[in-house]
Amino acid sequence: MGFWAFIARRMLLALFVLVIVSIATFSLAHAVPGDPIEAVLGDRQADNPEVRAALERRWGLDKPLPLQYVYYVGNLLQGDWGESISNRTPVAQALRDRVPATIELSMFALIFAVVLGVPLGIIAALNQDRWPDHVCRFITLLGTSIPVFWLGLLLLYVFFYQLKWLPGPGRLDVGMKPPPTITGMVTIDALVQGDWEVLRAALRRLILPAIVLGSFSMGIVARMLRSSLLASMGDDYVRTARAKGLGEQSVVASHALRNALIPTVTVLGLTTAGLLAGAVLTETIFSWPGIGSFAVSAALKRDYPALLGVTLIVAVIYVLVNLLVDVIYGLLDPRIRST
Amino acid sequence: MSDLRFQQYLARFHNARLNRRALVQRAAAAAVAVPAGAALGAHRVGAAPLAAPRRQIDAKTLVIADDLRPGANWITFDPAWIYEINAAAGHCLNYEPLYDLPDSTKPDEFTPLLAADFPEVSEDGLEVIIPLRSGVKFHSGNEMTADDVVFSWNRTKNIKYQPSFLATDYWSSVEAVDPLTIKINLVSQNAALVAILTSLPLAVTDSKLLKENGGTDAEDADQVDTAKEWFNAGNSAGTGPYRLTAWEIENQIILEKNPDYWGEPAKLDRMIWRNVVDANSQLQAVQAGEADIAYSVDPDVAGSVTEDPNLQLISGPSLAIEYLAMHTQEDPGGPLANPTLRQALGYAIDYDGIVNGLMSGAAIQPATIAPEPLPGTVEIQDKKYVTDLARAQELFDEAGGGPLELTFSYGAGDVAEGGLDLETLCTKLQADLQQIEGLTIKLNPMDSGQRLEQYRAGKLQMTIGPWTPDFPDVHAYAEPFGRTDTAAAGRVGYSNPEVDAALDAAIAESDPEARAAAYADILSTIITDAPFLVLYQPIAQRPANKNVQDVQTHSVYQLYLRNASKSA
Repeated sequence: MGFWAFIARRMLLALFVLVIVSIATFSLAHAVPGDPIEAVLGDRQADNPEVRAALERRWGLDKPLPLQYVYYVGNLLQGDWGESISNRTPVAQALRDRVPATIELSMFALIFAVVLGVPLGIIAALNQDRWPDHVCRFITLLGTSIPVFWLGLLLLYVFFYQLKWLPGPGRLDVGMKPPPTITGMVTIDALVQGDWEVLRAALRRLILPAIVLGSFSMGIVARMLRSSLLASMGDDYVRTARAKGLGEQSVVASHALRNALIPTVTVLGLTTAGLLAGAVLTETIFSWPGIGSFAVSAALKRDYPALLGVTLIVAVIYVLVNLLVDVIYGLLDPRIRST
Repeated sequence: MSDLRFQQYLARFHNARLNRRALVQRAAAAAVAVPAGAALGAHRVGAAPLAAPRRQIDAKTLVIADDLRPGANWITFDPAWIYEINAAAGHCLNYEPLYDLPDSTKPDEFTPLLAADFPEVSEDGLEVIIPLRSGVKFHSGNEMTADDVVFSWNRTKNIKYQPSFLATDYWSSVEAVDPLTIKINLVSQNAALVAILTSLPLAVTDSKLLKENGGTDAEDADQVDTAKEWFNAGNSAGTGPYRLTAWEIENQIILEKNPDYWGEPAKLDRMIWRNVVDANSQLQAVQAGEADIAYSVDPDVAGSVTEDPNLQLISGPSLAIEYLAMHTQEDPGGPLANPTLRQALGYAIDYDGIVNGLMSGAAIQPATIAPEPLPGTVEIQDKKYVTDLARAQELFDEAGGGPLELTFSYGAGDVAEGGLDLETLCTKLQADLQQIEGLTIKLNPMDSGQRLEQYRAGKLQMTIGPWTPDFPDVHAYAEPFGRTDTAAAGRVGYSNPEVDAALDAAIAESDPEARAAAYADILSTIITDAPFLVLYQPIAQRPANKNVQDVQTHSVYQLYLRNASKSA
């Protein structure tokens, strides 16, 4: 019961965080000098008062700032996220189109980070200061230090352009129709509807961007797991487990690793949120239609409705991921559940 | 610890090491197996192995790799809202205006498109009668009539967005005389009318269909028209040889052949614009067979395209310019209010270094604000600024000499026309100008939006910017750069009553030779007054596969794809 009360409390807090985030973003976006109408209007019409007035009316910029915020929140509660100024499409629709693409890419990046990062972390910890450790640490160092844009361009050059093993930028093959939208994630939608050709194309196009986006997280996961596993291996309960006569495999897997995973899960949670919010460069290099490029365009063009929409979505993601981390904590460590 | 117990401990430790080794081996195997498994999984799903991407483009499909990110180049195909440069290439295939400019290297050779003939102008030059082509059908099957023309232009006017000036500034009203004739009541005589009527925001849309889908040409269309959503759902209200069938912005835009086209049928079945953001990736997509044409190419990479036997470089002059603007009034121009100082700067710039160095030859230096080969630009070639440091120093000293510091503002992170990094260009200009003894140029990188705002408010001493044509006529440059309080001229406080009067006379002049001479005079005066120094006019370059045929670059539509085909 305590656990669920904790979750409920966290959710209420999350709502409060979202309100604060929306006010802060709204105020900051308007405090930065720069006029969104100016940014979208070409040289020819920039001085035309009639056009300017029509656009200000359209986007509600003719009203006082606090009233703009009240209208915004009111509309938001009715599901109307406003119209993007630079893109002139409803923000809700833009986010509905883009958020699943980013989640899909981040999900595969995360899978890459975990399936490579966890074994590397274990290998490194169990072979401390010997050559497998050095190799693993070198790989993780590369993962955390190679700039995303460089790795992206390099992988595209090698695997798409030179070797022609993998396809280039984009989410699907040329002219390929995406499957009817269920989740918006092409791989899942194709899988559910049994569209194997689309699934295959989507998976192949995910490989390179997922590696690029996941490489940093992979490095972090491996390094975190290595150090926490090393710390666990020296703990009393591990010695006890060994003293009980358990095999090394069971000592590591059931005792040391389980405890070492707690800090790793925290880091993983934060990097997941980071993946979702920070896929801008990867999305640009791989022409991925996610929220990253939408966010950049919104920020550069002072596109208030789009900027607020993206910020709120990212805030929601952070809050949810943190919540998820708490739940996983509970699963890994029963003591947390009961407190 | 007894000996026996110690032996057992050692044995267990030994076993543990063995186990640990086994664990390491399994972990390593997992690290290798998972990516391989993912690949195998993908392999199992489809029939083809995980090898080279299939060549998905057939001989009847043309794929253009372009940046389809939001808020930039492709936003809508709604003619009342479109004003994006790249999208014109596809838009002009779907929507047709009354006149066409098939070859933009010959900017006075227009052809009637949805008009049946050229305009008939009344004696006072204010009433224009245009006959419309008969038998033209929209993609819906509805027949095009004069009412559609009136509706489309009034809608563009009343939506009150970027292109609305095309339907407000030049005529007071337009009316349907009969189902196949329109009458335009001009505000003043206008020899550029046909050029204006090639503009895509003045393309003719299916009024019946649009009204059914939220469209209106009423005066309050800016508030009540909801057809934009219908357009953005991938629908078409046009007459063109291709029609929009998929509008998946940031993924792909698909146009399919219109089988009932009124004119010569399209040679291809479909055209696909594919989202590839980066110029180098666009070129790689062409080289790897995922696209036929790359919309952009970095000037320094274009050379490699011509060396590739499988590729061609489709190129032609653009009507874009990159110009230096100097404020002509004391506040905020300071010493730049003196035209002699502005001229001095004109002689200090290394134009050849910009054109052949930075732009790798993919540009020319036009004489002034009107790019070549528009009427009047050929006649003034000998008047353009050339690099002459001695003359620059002489004029600088004549204007009062140094020490003098000028603040040169530019948008940090912006890209200049032709894909040139603006920072690089500005640094070069700083170095060039500082060769004048006593002159210091202080670079002022600004937030792009703020620079634009301040420039438009006339608050910058010296800045740099691009200009692309509203329509393919010399007046589209002479007017905004020459007339008092208009667009660019207003931003640098430039005012010359002689130029204002000459512009009034030139726009009314219909004789081509007299017209060219009139604009040559105006441009010469602007060169002497030097409120602007034009740095270069890029040559558009589009890498394409060798099998792409009958595609040209176009100064307004960017790519002229109407006759495009592919060899097998």
